[in-house]
Amino acid sequence: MTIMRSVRRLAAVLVLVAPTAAFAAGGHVVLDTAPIDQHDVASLQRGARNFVSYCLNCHSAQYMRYNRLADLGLTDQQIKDNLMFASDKVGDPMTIAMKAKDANKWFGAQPPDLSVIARSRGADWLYTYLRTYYRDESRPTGWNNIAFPDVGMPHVLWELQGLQDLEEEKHGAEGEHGGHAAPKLTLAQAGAMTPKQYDAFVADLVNYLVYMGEPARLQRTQIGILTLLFLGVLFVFAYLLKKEYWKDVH
Amino acid sequence: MANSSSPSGSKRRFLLTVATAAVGGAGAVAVAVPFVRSMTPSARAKAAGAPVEVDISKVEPGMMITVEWRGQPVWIVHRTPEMLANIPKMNELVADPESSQPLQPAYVDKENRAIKPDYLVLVGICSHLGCSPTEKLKIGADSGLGDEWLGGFYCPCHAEGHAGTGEPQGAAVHLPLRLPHSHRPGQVMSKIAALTQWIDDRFPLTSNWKAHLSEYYAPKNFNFWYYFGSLAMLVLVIQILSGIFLTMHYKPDASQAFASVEYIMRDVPSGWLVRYIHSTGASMFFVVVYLHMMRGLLYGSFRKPRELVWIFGMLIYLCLMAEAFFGYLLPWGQMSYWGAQVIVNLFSAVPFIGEDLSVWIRGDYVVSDATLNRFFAFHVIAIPLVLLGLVTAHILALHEVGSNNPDGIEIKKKKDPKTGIPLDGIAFHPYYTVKDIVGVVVFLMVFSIIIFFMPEVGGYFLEYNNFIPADPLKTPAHIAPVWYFTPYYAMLRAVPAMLGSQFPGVIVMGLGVMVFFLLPWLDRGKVKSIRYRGPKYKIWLTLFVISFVILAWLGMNPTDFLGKFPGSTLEMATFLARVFTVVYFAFFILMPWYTATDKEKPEPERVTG
Repeated sequence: MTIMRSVRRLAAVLVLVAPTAAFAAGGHVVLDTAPIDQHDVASLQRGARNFVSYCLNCHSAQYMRYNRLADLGLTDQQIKDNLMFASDKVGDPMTIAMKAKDANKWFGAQPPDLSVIARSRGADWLYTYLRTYYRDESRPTGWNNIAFPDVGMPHVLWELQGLQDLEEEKHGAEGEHGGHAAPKLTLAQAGAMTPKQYDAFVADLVNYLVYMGEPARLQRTQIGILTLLFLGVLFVFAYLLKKEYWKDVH
Repeated sequence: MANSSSPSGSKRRFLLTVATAAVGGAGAVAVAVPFVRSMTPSARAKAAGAPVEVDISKVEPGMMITVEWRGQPVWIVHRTPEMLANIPKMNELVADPESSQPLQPAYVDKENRAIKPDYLVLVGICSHLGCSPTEKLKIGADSGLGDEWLGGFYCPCHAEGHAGTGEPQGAAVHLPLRLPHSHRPGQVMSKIAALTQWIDDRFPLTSNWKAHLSEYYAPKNFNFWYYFGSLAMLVLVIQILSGIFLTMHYKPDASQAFASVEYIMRDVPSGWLVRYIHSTGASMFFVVVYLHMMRGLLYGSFRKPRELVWIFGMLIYLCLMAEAFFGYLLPWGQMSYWGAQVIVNLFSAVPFIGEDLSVWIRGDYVVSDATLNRFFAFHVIAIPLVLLGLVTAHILALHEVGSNNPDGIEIKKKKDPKTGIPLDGIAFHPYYTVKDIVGVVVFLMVFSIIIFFMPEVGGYFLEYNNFIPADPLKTPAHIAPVWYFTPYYAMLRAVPAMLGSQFPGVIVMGLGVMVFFLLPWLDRGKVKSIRYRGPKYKIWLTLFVISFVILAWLGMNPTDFLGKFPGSTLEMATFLARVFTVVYFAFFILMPWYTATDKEKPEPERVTG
C-alpha cells in the first residue's frame, strides 16, 4: 500500500515538473537554423575565402593546414594563389602574425582560435551570432550582440551587413510570442550587401567553419556506410552459423 | 542436449564456419588498416618534410653549408675543381666504388654521386649507426689527417674517413653516406608456427581451452541479458587497442595536450577514427557494464555461491570509474579541466587532512600540468593493469562456480550420471561462442553508427564545452560530468552541506557506489531470479531503476533547471534528487526485510526456455 502511494506521489511530482521544464527552456536566445550543406563544395570554397579574408587576421585556426583545403577540391596552387596571405608553404597551419601580448593590449583578450569553434558553439549559434550585431554606444567597441551579450569583438562585417539597431521593446508587439516578443533588429543603414546576400555570406562562412571543425566528417560518413554494409553481411553469416550449431540444443 | 549432427549438417556447419571466419577475418584486416595507417607520417611530418629551398649562391667553392631536412642535417658542398679531380683517386680507397649498394636515387650520376658535379648533397648521417661524421674537406696536411687525406668526412667514433663522395674508406665497418632520398623500403616479416602437442608439453594450452571454453558447461537458457559479459570483454580489448595507438600521438603536457588531440583528429592518418573509437568505447563500456549489472539484479547473479564473482565485478566497476575519470582529463578541454577540478576538490572536504590530500592528488594547488601527467600514468598503465587482473579473477571465479541463468537455479544439481555433464549445460564453445559472435556483430553495428554518424551523441559522449581548451581562469557556466557519473553527481549535490562542509555529500556519493558490494548479504530471498520473486522485489527494483535514471538526468543539468517551489528557496531539482537518493538507498537498506517477506513462486527443477 505504502509503495503504491509513493508511486502515485512520484507521478504527481513528475506531472508538476513537466511544465516547469518547458518554461525554463524558453528563456534562451532563439537561434536561427543555419542553412548549411557540407556537400556543397562551392559554398565551402566561398566560406574558406570569407574566412581567410575576414577572420584569419585576428583569429588563428592553428590546427588547420592550408593544404587540407584540398578536401574542398582545391589544388595546392589554387590555395597558394587565392587563400594564402600570411604564409608561403601550403603545409603550414593557419596561424596569425598577431602576438598574444599585443592582442591582450588591443582587444583586452586574445581572440579565440577558430579551428574547432563550430564544435563548441554549434552552427546555429554562429549563424545567429554573426547576424545579430547592433550598435550600442554604452559598449567600449560601440557594438553589442543578441546571441553574445557584451561581446568583445567589434562587428567586423558591418560594411557588408550595414548598421543594425536594437528596437526598443514595445508592449504588445506583433511577434508570434504575444506580449514577450524576441528582441528585434532593424537595419538603420544599408551595407554593401542586401540582407539576403549577407545571410548567404554568413551561411557560407559557417558552412566552412563546420567543415574546419572536423575536416574528416565527410570521409567519416562514407566509411560508416561501407562499415555497416559489411557488418550486415557478417551478421547474415554469423546468424546462420549460430542457427546451425544451436540445432543441437534441445 | 546431444551432439548428434548428420553428415550433411556437419558439412554445412563447416562451410558456414569458414564463410563467417573469412568475412570476419576480412573485417579484422580492414579494422587493422586505420591503426596501421595511424603510424605512418602525419600531415605535420609531411609538411615538415616538404621540399626545402636553399639559396646556394653564397656558398663559395670549397665551402659546405648544413641545412635541416626532415630533422636530419643535409650537407651541401660546393666542390672545387681539385676536389672533383680527386674523385677517381678515391675509388681505390672506398669500399664500394661502383655504388653497387645504392643509397642514392637513380637520377644522380654514379661517378660524382651528384646531379650537378659541382654540388654534392648528402644526408649528414652515416648509414652505419647513425652518427654524424665531421667535415674534413681540406685536402692534405691542412685537414689534420696527414698528407694522404684526399678530403672528405671523418668519423670520430671509428677514427675512419668517408671519401669526398660520402663513400666509406678502407674497412667495411662504415657504410656509405646516404644521398637524400624520399623513400626507403621497410619490411615486416612474421612467422607463426604452432604445434599443439609441442606447446601442451610445455604449457597447459589444451587443458585451459577445455576448462574455459570447450568443456565449460553453461546453462542453455541464456537470454538477451547474457550478451553483455562478452561485450564488456570486447570493449576492453577495443579500448586497450585504440588507447595504445592514441598514446603514440598524444602529449600529456598541459601546453600541448589539447593541440595533440586536434593533431590526432586532423594530421594523423585515420587518427580521427582511432580517437572516436576510444571516446565512444568509453561511454559504451558503461552502457554495457550497467546492463551487465542489471542482469545481476534481475536474476540474482550476485547470490551464493557467486559472491566473489560479484565483488570482483564491483571492483572492476570501480576501476572503470577511475579509468574514465583519469582519461577524461587528458583532452584538456574546459570540461576535462573543471570536471577534474570539482572531483579532486571533493577530497578537500575530508575533515582535517582534506586540503593536504587534494594538493597531494593534484601535485599542485590547482589542476595543472603535474596533475595531467600523473593522470596519464594512471590512465594508460596503472589502472589498466589492475583492470586486467580483476577481469581474470572475475572469470576464474565464475568458471569455478559456473554461470547463473535466467531461472536462477543451479544446473550442477542435475547431472548426467554417465558423463557428469549438467543436463541443462552446453559447452561454451562452440554454442556460446557462435551466439556471442552474433551479439558482437550487432553491438559493432550500434558502435559504428555512433562512431561514423554521431560521435558526439548530442554532447553526451563528447561534451561541446570540451572543444574549448582548458582555461584555469574561466569556469564554464555549468559543469557536468559525463553521463555515466551523473547519478552519483546528483547525489553529491542533493546532500546539503553540514557544518559548512560538503563531506556528507561526498560520503553519500561514495556509499552510493559501495553499497553494491553488500548485495549478496542484503538479499534474503529464497529464489534468485526475478521470474520467481514476489511483487515486493519487483516493485523495489523498478523504483531503483527509475531513481538511477532520474538521478542521471538531474546530474546532467544545473540544479536550478526546474526552477524553485513557489514561495520557497528550495530548488525543484534538488528536491527531486533528494527524493530519489532516498529511494536509491532504500532499495538496498530495506532489502533484508522486503526480500524475506516476499511472496515468492517455487523455482522449477530444470531450466525453462
